[in-house]
Amino acid sequence: MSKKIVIDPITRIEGHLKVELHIENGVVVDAKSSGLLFRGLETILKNRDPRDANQITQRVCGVCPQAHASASSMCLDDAFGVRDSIPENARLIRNLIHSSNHIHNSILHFYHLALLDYMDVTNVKTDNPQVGIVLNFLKREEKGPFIPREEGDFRFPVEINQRLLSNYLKALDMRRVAHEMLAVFGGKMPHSCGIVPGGVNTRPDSGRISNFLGRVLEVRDFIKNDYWEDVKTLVKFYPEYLEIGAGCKKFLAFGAFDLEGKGDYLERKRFHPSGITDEKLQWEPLNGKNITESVHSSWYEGKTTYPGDGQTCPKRVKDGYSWIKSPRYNGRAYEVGPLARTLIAYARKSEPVYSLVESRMKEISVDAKKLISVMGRHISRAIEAQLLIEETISWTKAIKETGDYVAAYQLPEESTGAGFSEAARGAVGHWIKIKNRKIQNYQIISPSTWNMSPKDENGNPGPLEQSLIGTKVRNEENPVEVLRIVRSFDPCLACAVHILDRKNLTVKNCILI
Amino acid sequence: METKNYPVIWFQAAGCTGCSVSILNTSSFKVKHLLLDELVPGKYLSFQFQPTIMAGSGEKVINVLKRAVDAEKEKYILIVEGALPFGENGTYGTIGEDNGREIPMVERFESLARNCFAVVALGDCSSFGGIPGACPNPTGIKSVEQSLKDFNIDKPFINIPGCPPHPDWLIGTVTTLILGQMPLLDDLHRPKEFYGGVIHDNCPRRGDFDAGRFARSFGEEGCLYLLGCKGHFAYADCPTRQWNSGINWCIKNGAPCLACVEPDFPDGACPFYEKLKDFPKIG
Amino acid sequence: MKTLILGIGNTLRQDDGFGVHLAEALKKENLPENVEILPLGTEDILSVAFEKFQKIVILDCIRLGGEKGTLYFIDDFTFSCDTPVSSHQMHPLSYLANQAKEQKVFLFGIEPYSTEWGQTLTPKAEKRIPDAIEFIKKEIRKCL
Repeated sequence: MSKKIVIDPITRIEGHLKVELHIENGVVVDAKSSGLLFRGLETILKNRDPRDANQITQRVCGVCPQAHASASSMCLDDAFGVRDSIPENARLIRNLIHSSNHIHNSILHFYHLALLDYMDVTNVKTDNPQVGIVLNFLKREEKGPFIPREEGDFRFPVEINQRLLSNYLKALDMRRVAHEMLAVFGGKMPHSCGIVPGGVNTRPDSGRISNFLGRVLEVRDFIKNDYWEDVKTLVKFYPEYLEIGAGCKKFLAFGAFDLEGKGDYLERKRFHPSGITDEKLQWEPLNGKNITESVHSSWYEGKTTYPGDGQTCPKRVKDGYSWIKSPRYNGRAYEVGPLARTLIAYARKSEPVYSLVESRMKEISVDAKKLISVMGRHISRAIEAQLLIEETISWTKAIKETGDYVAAYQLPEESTGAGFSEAARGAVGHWIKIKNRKIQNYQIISPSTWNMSPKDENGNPGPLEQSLIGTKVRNEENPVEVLRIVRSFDPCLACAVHILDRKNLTVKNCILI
Repeated sequence: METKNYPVIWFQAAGCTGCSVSILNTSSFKVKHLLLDELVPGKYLSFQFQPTIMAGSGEKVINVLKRAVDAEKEKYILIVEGALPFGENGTYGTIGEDNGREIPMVERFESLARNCFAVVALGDCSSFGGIPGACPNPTGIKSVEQSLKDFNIDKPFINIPGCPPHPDWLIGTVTTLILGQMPLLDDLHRPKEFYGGVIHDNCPRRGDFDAGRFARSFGEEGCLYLLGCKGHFAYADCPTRQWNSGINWCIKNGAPCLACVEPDFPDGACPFYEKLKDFPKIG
Repeated sequence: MKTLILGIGNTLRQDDGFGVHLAEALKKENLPENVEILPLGTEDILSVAFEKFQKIVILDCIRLGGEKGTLYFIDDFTFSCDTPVSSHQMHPLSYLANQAKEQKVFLFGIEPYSTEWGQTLTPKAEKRIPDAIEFIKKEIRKCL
C-alpha cells in the first residue's frame, strides 16, 4: 500500500519547489518534482532593446545572476556579430567576475544550504570564541531559523560538530568576501554591472587588482584548509550517501570560462570543457542539435466523436500540449551541474581537474565512479572551488595594462544569437531573435530545467526524480534522505520555471476530420 | 537586563532571492550576529521563517507561519521579498498545501500581513512591482502597498526598494523599528536616511557632467549620461555608502545607474544604455 | 460579426507549428471579409485586440491521443484557470480564459506526427493542410 508524502516548501534552495513521493514499504517508488512560481521573464523581455537582456536576465535568479549575465552577453555578442572579437582583457575580466560567483556558490551551498541536514546546531558544549555565540543563542526559547527541523540523524561527535558549526559561521564571512571579489570588477553583487555586450565596461587598475587578490588569498585559505576537510568529514560519517541519489547517470555540460576568444561556444577551449559522459566515464563532444525538449503530462482530457460515428478518443492522454520545457539530449534526461562538469573534465582527462580528482579520491579511498551520488556532488563543488580560486590568480596576472575592454558593434535590425555557459548549478543557454532592433523572442534554458524536469512523453522521470526513486526513507515524518538528495542538486527554481502538469482543458465535443 | 525578542517572518513571494543574498552580504553588522546575537543591547531578532537558510522543510515550516498569525499576533515584523502575483486566482505562485490544496502566496500574505506588527517591503519587487511587474505584467503583480490596500489591511509599512537593496538599508531600518520608532519616510514610504538624496547630486563624476565631459563608450572617463545613466532621478546613497563592504558601486565601475530603487524600474530606465531624451539642457 | 483565425505554435518544432503554417495557407484563400487571419506563432498574445471579434478560432497542434494526423475541431470545451503551461510565456488559452469572456472560442488542430526540431511540417502533416483548409472554409461559410 503506497503512501503519498508531499514536501512543500523545500527550503534551503533557491525558489519554490515541491516534491511529491509515493512510498511503499519504506521505499520511494515514485517521485514528482514541481516548480511553483511563474514570473514570465521571457514575456517581459519581448519588444525591449536587446542590450537590456543582459541586465534583466540577471534577475531570473539572485543567487546565480552572473551565469545569466554571462550567457546573455555571449548570446548578444553572437547576435551582434562580435562573438570572436571580444578583447583579451575583457575575456579575462569576464572570467574573474563569473568564477567569483561559482566560488561563492560552492561555499554557500555546502555550508548554508546543505550542512544543516547533517550538523546539529544544538550539539555545542564549549564556550569558545568560535561557537560561544551559539551557546548563548540556544538559551533562547525561540530558536528560528535553526528549529524546527528534521530530526533523528545527526552523527557527528560533539568536537567535530563544533568545528563544523564554527566553520558554518566562518563561511558566512567567506561567501561575503567572495562576493566582494566579484564586486571589484562587477560593480556590485547581486546583480552586477561589469559585463556588457562586447566585453566589460570597467578598467582595472593596480588598486583594484590588489583588492581582488587579497580577497582571493583569504578565500583560498578557507577552501584549502577548512572546506575540503569538512567535506571529507561528511563523507566519513555518512558513507552510504556515496551510494544514494545517483540519478540518471548521464551528464552534460556547455562548459564555461573561455580560454580562447574565437569559435563556436560549444567548441572553443574552456576551463570547464563542454561535453557529455555517463557512468562509463567516456567523454563525447556535445552536439547542440541533439538537444530536444519533451512534452509533459496531461493537458487534455476529453471525448471526441466522429460525426455520426460512435468513435471516441482515449479519456486521458499522457502527452501534453505544445511548448514545453524539459530539455533532453538525444531524448534522454541528463544531469547538469558541478558533478557533470567534474566528470566530463575527468573523462576527457582535462587538467588540472583530472589530477585533483585522482588525488582527492585517493585521499578518501573512493573510486571516481562513486562520485555519481549525493556525496559526489558535494565533493565536486569543493574540487571546483579549489581549482577556480587558483585559476583566478593566473587570469588576474594575464590582464594587460593597455588594450581595449569592449568591442564596438552596431545594434542589428534583424539577427539571431545563442549563448552557452555554466551557472554553478549547471548548463545555461540563452537564445535571442531580434527584429526591428528589438527583442522579438528570447528563450532561456537553465540548469534546474534539466535537473528538475518532470517525466517526459515516454514516462521517463527527470534526473532529480530518478535520484529519489528507490531511496529508503526510515521515518516519513522526517524524510531526511529525500531532503539530502534534493539539496545535493542545489536546486534553483527561479531559473527552472514551472510546472507543466496541469489539466486545463476539458474537451466536451470534438469533430474528427 | 531582560532581553526582548522581535520575531521576524521573512516571506518570499515572486522574487529571485537576490534580496536575501544581498542581506547576507552585510558587513557593517555581520550576519552571524544578525542571526544569533542582539541587534541592539537588550533586543534581538529571531528569524523564525527565512526559506533560504532555515533548517526545516514542508509542513513543519508552514506551521511556523500559522503559529505566527496566532501566538505571535501583532508581534512579528513581516519582511516581504518578491512581488505578489494575483493573476489566475493567485496560482502563479503557491507555497505549501492545506488539505491537498496548493495555497497561493497572496493568500498567505494576506493572513500574515493582517496579523503582523509592521510590514517591510524588501526590494524593488515588493515595494513597487519590480521586474515581474514590468510590462506587460504577465502574472498580475501588485506591490505590497497596493495589496495591503486591496485587502483593506491597515498596518505600518516601509518600502526598502533596490534591485537588490543594500543590506544596510534593511538593517538600519529594522534597528530603528525595534528601538520603538518609525523612520522618517519619503512620499514613496522609503526611509529618507537612505533614499533622501539623488545619486546625481553626490556622484563623483558630477564634476565631469558640469564641465561637459561625457564618456562616449564603455571604459572611458567622464559622466555616463550619454551611456544611459539614470542617476539624476534615482534616490539612494550608493555614491557614499557604496556596495559590498564599500568596495565598489555601479557608476564607479563604469556602469550607468539603472535607477533600481525607483517605482518604475525597469521600464522607466529602459533602454538602459540609451540616454533619456527629455532631460533638459543636456546632450 | 467578425471572426479571428489565430495560428499559434512553435515553427521551430515541426508539427508544433501546424497552426502557423495553416494560417499562412488560409491567407491565400478567398475567405470572407469579416474573417481576419493572424499567424501569431509564439509572439505576444497580449498584442492581439480580441475585443474586436465575436468568434475566435485557434489553430494549433493538439494532442488528444488519437491517430497521428487526425484533425480536430473542438467547439465545446472548458478551460480552468490554472498555472500556464509554457516556461517561455503565458499560454494563449490561459490568457483567453481571462480576457475573451464575450467571444466564442473554437480550437482546430492536428494530432502531430513529430515535434522535434525542424523548420517545416512533417511531410504527412503537410498533406493534411488541404483537408484542413477545406474544412475551415466550409465551417466559416456556415458562420461557425
